[in-house]
Amino acid sequence: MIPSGIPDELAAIFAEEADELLERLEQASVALRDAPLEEQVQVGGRMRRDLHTLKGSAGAVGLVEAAEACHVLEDFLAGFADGTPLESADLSELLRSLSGVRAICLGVAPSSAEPPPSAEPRGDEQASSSPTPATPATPAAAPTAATSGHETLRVAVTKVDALQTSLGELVVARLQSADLGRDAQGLRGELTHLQASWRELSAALRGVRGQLRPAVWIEVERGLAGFGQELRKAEQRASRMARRAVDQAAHVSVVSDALEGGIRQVRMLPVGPFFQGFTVAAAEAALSRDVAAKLSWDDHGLEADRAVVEGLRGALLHLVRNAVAHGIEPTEQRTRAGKPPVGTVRLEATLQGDHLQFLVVDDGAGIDRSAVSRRAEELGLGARDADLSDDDVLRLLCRAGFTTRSSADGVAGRGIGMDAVLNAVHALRGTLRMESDPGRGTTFRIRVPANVTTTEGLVVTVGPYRFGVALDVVRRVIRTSSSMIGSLEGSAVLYVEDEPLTITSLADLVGALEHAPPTDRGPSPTLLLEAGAGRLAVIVDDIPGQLQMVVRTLGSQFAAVSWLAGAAVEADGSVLPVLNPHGLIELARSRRRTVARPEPGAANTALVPTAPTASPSRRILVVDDSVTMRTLQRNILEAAGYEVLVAADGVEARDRLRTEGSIDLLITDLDMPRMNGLKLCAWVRSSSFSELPVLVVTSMGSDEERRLGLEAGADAYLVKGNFRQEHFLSTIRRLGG
Amino acid sequence: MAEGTPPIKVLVAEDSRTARAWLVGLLRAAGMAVVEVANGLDAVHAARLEAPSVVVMDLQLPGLDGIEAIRRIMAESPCPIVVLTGQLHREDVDVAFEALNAGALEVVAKPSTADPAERAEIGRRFVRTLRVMERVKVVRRRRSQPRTSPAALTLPAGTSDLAMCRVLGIGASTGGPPVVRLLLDRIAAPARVPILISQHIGPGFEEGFARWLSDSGHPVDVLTGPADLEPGRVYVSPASSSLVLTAPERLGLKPGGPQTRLLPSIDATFDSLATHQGRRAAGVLLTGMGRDGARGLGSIRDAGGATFAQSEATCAVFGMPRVAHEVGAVDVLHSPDDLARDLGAGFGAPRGLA
Repeated sequence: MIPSGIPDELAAIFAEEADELLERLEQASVALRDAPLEEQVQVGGRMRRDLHTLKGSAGAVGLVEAAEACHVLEDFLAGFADGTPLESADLSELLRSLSGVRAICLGVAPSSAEPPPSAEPRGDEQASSSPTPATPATPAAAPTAATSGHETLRVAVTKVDALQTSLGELVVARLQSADLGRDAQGLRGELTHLQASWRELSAALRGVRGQLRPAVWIEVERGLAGFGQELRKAEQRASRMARRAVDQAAHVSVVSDALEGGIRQVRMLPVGPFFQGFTVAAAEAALSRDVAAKLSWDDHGLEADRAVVEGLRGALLHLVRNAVAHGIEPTEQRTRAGKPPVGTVRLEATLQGDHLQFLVVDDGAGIDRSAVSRRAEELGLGARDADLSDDDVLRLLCRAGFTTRSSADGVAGRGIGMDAVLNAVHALRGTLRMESDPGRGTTFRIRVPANVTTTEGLVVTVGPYRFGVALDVVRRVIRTSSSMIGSLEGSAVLYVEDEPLTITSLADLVGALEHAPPTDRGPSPTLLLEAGAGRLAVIVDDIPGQLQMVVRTLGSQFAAVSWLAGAAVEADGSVLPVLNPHGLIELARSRRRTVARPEPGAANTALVPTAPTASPSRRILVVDDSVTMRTLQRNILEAAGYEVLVAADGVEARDRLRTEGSIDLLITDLDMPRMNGLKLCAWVRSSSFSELPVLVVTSMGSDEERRLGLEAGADAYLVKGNFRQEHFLSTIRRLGG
Repeated sequence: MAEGTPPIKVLVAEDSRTARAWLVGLLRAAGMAVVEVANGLDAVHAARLEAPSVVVMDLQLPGLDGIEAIRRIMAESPCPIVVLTGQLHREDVDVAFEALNAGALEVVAKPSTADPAERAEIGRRFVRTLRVMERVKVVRRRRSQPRTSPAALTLPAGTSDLAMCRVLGIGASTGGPPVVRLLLDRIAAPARVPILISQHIGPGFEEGFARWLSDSGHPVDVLTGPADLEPGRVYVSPASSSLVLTAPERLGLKPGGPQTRLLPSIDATFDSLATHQGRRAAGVLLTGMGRDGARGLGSIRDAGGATFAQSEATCAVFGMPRVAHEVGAVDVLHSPDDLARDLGAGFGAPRGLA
């Protein structure tokens, strides 16, 4: 660990540099063993130079043991400078030492010669370790450009993300620009209209010419002409402005689109080096299992968004290690089966329309289906001899806990269980499939959308809350009425194409508890969600529109909220939480299990409101000329279950009373324009609403005011300075609210 | 720093990003302007284009290696070069002296400690070294030094012939090592007399210095404790105390006292030579900053011994020899070639001649 006293910035630079150098060294180690003799000397020389650099860097941050270790390795490698071949045992030693150095430099727990993570029952059934993931010291900066010898720039990812955020701000500017254009055009229209009116007026004026003295008429004539000219000029100016504003809006649009595309490009990483990075893991896995295997790859020159590459790194690592450690058979077995002695794990990336497909293909023994079904039976997940399809096997493998127990010395950051692989793929809104051919090999197929930055989404509302939902998980949008909802095993279901589909209201799922469904609704808009293998029908209040969303993660504070995927920023700048369909489906499933079974048919009525049967809420009219006070009182009252109407002064209050029907309580300020509280009170007492309870809430607290208020007919008096919520509510209750 | 003076511009050539970042941070915090490069070729170009006041160079650089880069810089656009080197291992130290031979002025050890106080101290000393180096005027080093016409060494009147001398003391500071090496190269081994070397040097580098000097063929060792004086042996002072005669045929180490700012103290060495060998002593004061050794050289002369100092044109820093000349410890200053020739003649192994 880097000693204290070293500035954070220097430590971060070191972490990045050390990671890079160690990765190069690890890969070169494998190359050193496999390369032809002529190249070995060069590779060794390069390694010694890198070790020397690392030695210097480690010294610069006070990691004396690491520097010492680098020197020892330099000497070790010097022994191979004359072309002595590097044996597998030497490679093992070298990788182990490098791993040790990595541990010191980056605080990553060293991987001793222990077997790679999680044993899916393929071939052998040893209980091997499942690693405990720990995060290595990943620095904030990451390289963005290829090491292909082109001019490159090293840019911190945070800077690129910041650029993208600024770009988002530009959207607002774009909208305002468009608005300005429209305004300008509107102005021009008005001026044109004005011109027409003016011409009419001029014509009418000319009609009275005969009644004026000539001298006077000449004055009028001159005035008419002059004014007409000014008006024309104004109209022309407005016309020019309108054109310019529209052009400008278009220009801003084009530029910001180009910028957006450009920034997205900057985030792209070449897939080749990414694949190459797995060679060491494959080599280590092969060494630990004593099998012969090599990694090959075909990236077709593709680049992928950084989010995809980083998102799949752990998943691919796990699949590669598994393929080598559990798929590839020992050499003897392979040759007996007529296979080449060295097993191959091949990584491939292809672009399919707007999706990227990653393949991990091995030519090993394939998945041992009987072992899988045996394990499934042990865990109570299915019959022993059930005929398992590839999909079934994959589903089982991806269950958390299906793989064996973790060992005490887990490996940090080296691999994750199959369930985590599935999660990683889902987090990128992708799919995972598997095909396995016994004796021939296994293929894992990952498909992810190539563009992870913007997503087409729907905006849905539930009560006062707005949420975004990615369009690609919404199979259909329909309107459901209560008659369409049936009951199956105690849960509400909707029959879609004769298949029962669990249906629930979004308000229930997300806990919008105070949301009482509007009482006079007809059929409700319902989203049919489909994510991976899960399906769910979700009732919402309204679907106001569509949106191009840039979904950003919310941060670790929201990690417990499984039904939120992140948030996007709407055009007006407000934040829109985006729903995670997998989380919603899982939530619905768990709720179903825990809720006691109600009578058949009872489940449906709660979901879709029919005729109102509950007693209507009490209605309160709040009168205050201060927006703040009105809002404050309204929030308190609505939270307490009242229905609230507002008015800004006495006159408005009077009108509301007349038009609104039954009001149960009036709360009013005293000091208001047009008609103050005292007068309002007096009016109420003399009107048809004379029985209406009135509560005066005011800033004026003198005894004189109090007396006046009560004389005018108020039933109770509260002073704003002493405002207390419980007191407020209890007074209201006392008055019969 | 006086108002209006431009900041010192330092060229940093280091391929380790982390070490470079540490150095750059340190130097910028000290108010210096920094140009960074990560390989030897860029270092040579930058030295030419940027005209830095001082160059800080790691020796293991990709592409053109450090030693060659130093040679090129000193040939094309000479400036003071400070070499950064690891101290943990022999090879690193040995290569550092090659660098001094190629024209670098000073070697500084890279930090190899985790202790923050020590690191801070290393950083401070480093900045101080750079400030000092910046003031040094460097001489363009032709790739091949022209042969100077041999001028006979004129010994001051009244001093002994070199044949009478029983011990030779050489004192040097900045820019010294290559000249010391040259002198040893030209004095055929084994020398007729014991040779004492008092070279200002950073702690930890004395062993490497001695090892490097021993390539000249002489047995060179760092004195670690009292010993008998033996002809033909070359004794190097440790960095933390001074090499002195305690008796005409006895060597010892004099620890630094509060009045001794600089270690090893050349004055202490020369004074002891004057005291215990008098007119049988010979003293040579080479390039270096300050005035250490000037007074001691004068003591040798006063005692009737032979004294020499290096000429201005050939000094990396014409400090100590200048003062020696001013106080009358020497009459004439000589080039390293002249010194080598005549010291070789005077002290070389009886059979061989320079």
